[in-house]
Amino acid sequence: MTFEDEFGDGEDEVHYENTFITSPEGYGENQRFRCADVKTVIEEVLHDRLDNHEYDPRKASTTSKEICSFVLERVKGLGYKRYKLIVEVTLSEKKGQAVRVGSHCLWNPSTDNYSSAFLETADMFCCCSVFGLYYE
Amino acid sequence: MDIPASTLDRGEIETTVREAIGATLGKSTFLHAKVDGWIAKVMETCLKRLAQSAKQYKYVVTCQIMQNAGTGACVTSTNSWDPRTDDFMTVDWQNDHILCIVSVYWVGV
Repeated sequence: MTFEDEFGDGEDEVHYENTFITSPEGYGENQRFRCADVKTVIEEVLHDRLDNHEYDPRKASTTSKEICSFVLERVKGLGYKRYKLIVEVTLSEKKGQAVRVGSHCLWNPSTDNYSSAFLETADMFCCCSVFGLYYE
Repeated sequence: MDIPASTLDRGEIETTVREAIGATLGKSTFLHAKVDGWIAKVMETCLKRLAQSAKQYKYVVTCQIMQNAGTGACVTSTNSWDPRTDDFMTVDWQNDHILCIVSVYWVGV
């Protein structure tokens, strides 16, 4: 994994290689991806960023990118050393349309997992999913 | 140890995804009762084709189907991974009634 910052000057790239430790517990306690902890993080970011805000189509893409990066930084802060993380955010205005979001994954179910949260305000909705994939 | 670069063909993945969406949704109008089945079918088709390539990747496929009501949708993703082996692609498709966005992420093991 590399930790190059997408938005600013990058930190020095750090490349992790395989260690072939097949279970996250091999790296210590609390290294397994915990859905409840990640969901709490996502909900906090969504509420902080979107509560009492109105939908602005000119700023929607910037807002969704900000939410993505905040969620990623907070989940990284939970200390999962050997997980590759994917954060996906969907933000849209509410106009009475129906929406359905789904995901399918081909992975190792004993080590990999995901967490998601959904926030609805008066004029918009936002769905955020975080996928954690273990890197042996 | 040399890390092999991502060996998946992006063009082929895009073709696979577009064919899956076109075959499933085609000229349909938005029907509540069918949406779950559509989403499952699109993602299963994509995953099956990806798995057949038998390459050493883990895959995540997400699919969003929305009624085309004239509103836009922002789908954004950020990732913490190895950019030499991991990548993603997003395909958006729409007709007069349905907006469909499929994202495929592949991560080296």
